[in-house]
Amino acid sequence: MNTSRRVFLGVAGWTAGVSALHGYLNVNWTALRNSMRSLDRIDTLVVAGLPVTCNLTLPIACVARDLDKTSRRATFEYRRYNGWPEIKEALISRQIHAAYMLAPLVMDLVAKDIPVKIVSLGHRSGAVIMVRTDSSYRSFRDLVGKRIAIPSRFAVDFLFLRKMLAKEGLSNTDFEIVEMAPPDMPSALYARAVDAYCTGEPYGAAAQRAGFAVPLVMTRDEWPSYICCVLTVRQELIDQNPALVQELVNYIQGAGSWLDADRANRARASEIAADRKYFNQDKAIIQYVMDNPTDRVTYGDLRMIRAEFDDMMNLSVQAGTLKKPVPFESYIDDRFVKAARPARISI
Amino acid sequence: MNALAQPRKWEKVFWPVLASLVFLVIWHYAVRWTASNIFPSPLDVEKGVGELLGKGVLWGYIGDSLRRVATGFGISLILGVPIGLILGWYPAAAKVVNPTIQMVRPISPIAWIPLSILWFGVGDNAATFLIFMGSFFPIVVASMNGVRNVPSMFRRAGRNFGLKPAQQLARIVFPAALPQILVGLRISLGIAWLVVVAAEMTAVNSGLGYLVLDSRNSGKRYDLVVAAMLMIGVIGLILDFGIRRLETIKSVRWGFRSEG
Repeated sequence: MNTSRRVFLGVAGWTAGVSALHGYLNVNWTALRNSMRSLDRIDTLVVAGLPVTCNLTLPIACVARDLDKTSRRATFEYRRYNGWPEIKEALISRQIHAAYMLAPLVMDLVAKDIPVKIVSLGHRSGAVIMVRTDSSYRSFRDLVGKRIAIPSRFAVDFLFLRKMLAKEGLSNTDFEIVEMAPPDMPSALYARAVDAYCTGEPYGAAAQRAGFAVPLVMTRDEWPSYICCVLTVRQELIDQNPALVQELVNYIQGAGSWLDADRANRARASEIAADRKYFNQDKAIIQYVMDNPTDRVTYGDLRMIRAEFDDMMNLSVQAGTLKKPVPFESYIDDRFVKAARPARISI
Repeated sequence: MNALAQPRKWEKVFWPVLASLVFLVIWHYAVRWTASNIFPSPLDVEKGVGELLGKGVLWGYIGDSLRRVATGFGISLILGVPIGLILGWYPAAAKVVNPTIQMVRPISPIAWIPLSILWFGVGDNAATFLIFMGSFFPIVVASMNGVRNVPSMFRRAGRNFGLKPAQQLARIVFPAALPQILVGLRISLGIAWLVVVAAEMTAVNSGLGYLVLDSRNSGKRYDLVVAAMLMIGVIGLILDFGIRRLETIKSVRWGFRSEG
């Protein structure tokens, strides 16, 4: 055999070998087959979420559904994303058909003709405005002219901040507002790069538990019906597999009631969510959010109330994040919540 | 077409412009035919740029990004060239420092973001630091190699003329190494400009990188994302063109030994 043939066979053999190994070790063939099926015949529904306590009902729903061997519908698979833009793009491009999203972001997508609908809430409350423990700031007046970090102008945390400022007759223009990824906020506060930050849990608790930050104000005290993360589903999934959407909503509602029923359930939830498959976070920090105080985030009341969504929509228009009002019917499909039969969660 | 043929003057402008037009047409029809409701067409991008100009923010964004890159790249240049020259001049020092350089070099600027915020706070300093981290090592490595590749004949000639080491470095080694240093500068400037998007993830509120990130965050403004990408590309082209003109300066040409 001449050299060039040997080289060719070597390269071909190597390529085939590595490809086979890759196919065996890395490729999830079940997921691949599943992704090619039509929505009414899938085995698994991927639901995307961020590793934030607002989304805690999602891992619980996935685990509880897995334990139910009687149902013949698709199971739910949690997929962790690390930023809202990534989830948004995945939803827009049909890579995923269900996700927890920020409510104003859904309104904006619907206004731009992306066919998605909110079918359930995920939680209520769970946002905080944190300042350093050793600072003298006791009210927003003390922070005038200072730097406050928010996740994004499109986050409901910004609307919360604006609401708090308006209460004291201030506006966000009286402060230096910077946008920052929530995981960077605790260290930015520690390094005095910002004077305060407003975000969802567990990024407030992370700093509080470390001892250098304290909440200036919490949604728990000022806006307990606060909504931000909502279960959003593409219209195709609603049209082609409404029974699956109903089952998902049943499990999310069930998870919500279960989480608020008993503190022991919250502890179990922290254990589950801390796992690498779900939030991949320190269990102690999630547990801290659950305990300090016990209603820092609530999951029991997941009713979708028109007045609340209209209020949030108007706040977004005032904040400039929505160009014009978006009608409630265009982005909400509440039949599933109305017909929900909360699943029994026995984890 | 002949590989040896020199392009005529008008051809140097004609062909790139024609290629760009063909590209724009293909882009426009690709968006139309796939009926994508996300990917912007060239007209959407043009409207987006118009919107930014109308709001008066575009030139400010371009200026801010250029300023951050100029600062970061400038610091890399001021620190990197002397350090590279010294490391090239003293091979023993290079042997000691090289493993550290090779270890730190491949770390992506994005990985430095949490630390940069911790050390420099939010804003321009953190962004400049990230640009510095991206552009420092190519300059050091190129300067080091430039010094090492100076023919020993040149150094011996300098010694024969009675030059002290410092004078040798300044009057012989540096000019002889200049072509390679300039190549390093060109690569480094390219990297510095490339890193601007990552660097502007440090809670700044202006700049082309910020425009990419912010447009992505805000619903469906992918027209602005692509507009920002195009502007980053065009400015990168202009920067590269500028730095290549440096290579035509007479005192630099001295170092190009292959030509007369």
